[in-house]
Amino acid sequence: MRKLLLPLLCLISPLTLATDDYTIELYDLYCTACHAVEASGAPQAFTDEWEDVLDKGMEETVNNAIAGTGNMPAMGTCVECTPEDMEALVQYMATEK
Amino acid sequence: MNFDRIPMSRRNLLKAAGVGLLAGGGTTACSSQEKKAAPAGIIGKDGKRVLPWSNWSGNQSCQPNERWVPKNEEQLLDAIRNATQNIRTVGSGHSFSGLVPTDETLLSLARLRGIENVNPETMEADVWAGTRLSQLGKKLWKHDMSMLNMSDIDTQALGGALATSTHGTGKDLGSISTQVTQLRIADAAGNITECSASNNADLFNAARNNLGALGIVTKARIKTDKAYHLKEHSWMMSKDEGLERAEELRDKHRHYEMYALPHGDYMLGISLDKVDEKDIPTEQPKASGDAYEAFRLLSNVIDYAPFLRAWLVNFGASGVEPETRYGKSWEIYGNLRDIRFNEMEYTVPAEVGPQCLREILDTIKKQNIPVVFPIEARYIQGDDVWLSPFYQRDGFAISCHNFHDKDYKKYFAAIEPIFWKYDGRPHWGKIHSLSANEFAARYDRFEDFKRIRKEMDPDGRFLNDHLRHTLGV
Repeated sequence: MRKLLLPLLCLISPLTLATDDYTIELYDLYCTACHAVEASGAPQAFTDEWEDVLDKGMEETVNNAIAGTGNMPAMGTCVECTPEDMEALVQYMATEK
Repeated sequence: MNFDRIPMSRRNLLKAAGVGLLAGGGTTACSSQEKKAAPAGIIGKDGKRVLPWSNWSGNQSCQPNERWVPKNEEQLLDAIRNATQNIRTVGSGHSFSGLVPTDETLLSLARLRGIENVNPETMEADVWAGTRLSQLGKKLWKHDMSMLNMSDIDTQALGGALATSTHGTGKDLGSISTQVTQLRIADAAGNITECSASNNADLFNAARNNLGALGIVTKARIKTDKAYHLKEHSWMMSKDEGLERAEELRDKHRHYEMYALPHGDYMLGISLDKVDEKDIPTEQPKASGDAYEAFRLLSNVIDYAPFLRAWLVNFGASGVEPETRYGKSWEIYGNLRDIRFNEMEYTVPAEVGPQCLREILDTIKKQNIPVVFPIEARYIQGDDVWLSPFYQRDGFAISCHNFHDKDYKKYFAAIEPIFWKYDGRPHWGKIHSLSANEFAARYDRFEDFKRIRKEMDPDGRFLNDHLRHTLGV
């Protein structure tokens, strides 16, 4: 599944998933505490560490983020986020730079 | 509780325990677990999905039937005026007590964020209530300003911090609420009232620890300091030395706090002092920093071999070297690593603080309570905020924690009566078992707070079950 998902994300992201400013703002506010700090143990943004995460598929990944999983708090504490925002954030972080 | 301040390493513990196999099964901080999650939420009145809510640690949760995230104050006021059910406001979800849960409307002010009206003459700035403390320090820095003091976790929203007297440490420094000079607060009719020490002073003194029960604070004017750098120094000492020197070290440093190790004979001291930028070494020592993993591992090992507890804690602590780091104020105060736990915190009068802490440590040992999570102790200056745990007395806040996925109830139940014995007042956003009568006995202005609450919200639109129980309304 991950072999399919990641290339697909990479292919469509420049065209249809160009990350909007609001998603980037959400990422900066809520995600960087763990997803940009290696020592946290969380999958690091913009790396291939998301391959394993996305093995579960996007829907389950987003559901896990909403409910909280492991040491990740529910919604990553983003009270303003919608399910669509959560998916956009996963897509943004899963795109390797 | 900021693990980054504890220079304890997992490597030392591994050596001590000889537990390579167990270490392989140790947990990592934010790692994902294989867990199938069902789609969460309900379909709201507008046909859209309404997500459930859970606080940071996961010990509080609810399913609201509606969520509001207004984009500006006008939208918020319109929504309040047209509301047909109760409203609870959530900040960043960092409270462990039941302040937030509701099955009606859950309101987030997250989009009311940012600072404005920065005044370099008065050193004040207006801050929207949804602003995260972590962002506040960075934004003020751009104006050559720093917060006067800050909590060690900085992911809270300012509105939530003011609702619960969130605090850092420092003999001459009060909670974040004491840095406020003016507030804007919406009542249940959707009207804004401004208050300060000279304008609506009763509301001001109530609203700086408002529990979200008076109305909705939308903006606060805060007093700041000129931008400054901090030097943080941490060192391990014996428990007895730590307790005996607590007042001396408090008086010596701008900020001083202690981390006591349950079942151990050691205590970590941490001091913060202002430092001139020119005195900061160009090459800073690298932090040893995997204290969270160290304690997590310790906790897991002890589950298998509880008889090793005291020895392991002492071995780990004995290898800790002093550490110093420097940085901009907001870099040193703040903590980006979000390590989940549950917490009980009481503030006892400053003069009996070390004595109370000693009794807690003795009780943990005597009752063989299975906890290794460090206990944090901080000094805070007294204030004039009606429901502040520091109301009219300097305080010594003792914070007891356990990992978010480990049982905390028995531990906290054993410790809480010790706090009562020392005339302790609980942190409103942390776990406690007190109700209205007990709060009334602890706070001279408790009934005055309730009077203001009734004026602002006659029909109880901003209450939930926890608040009705806590306030006795």
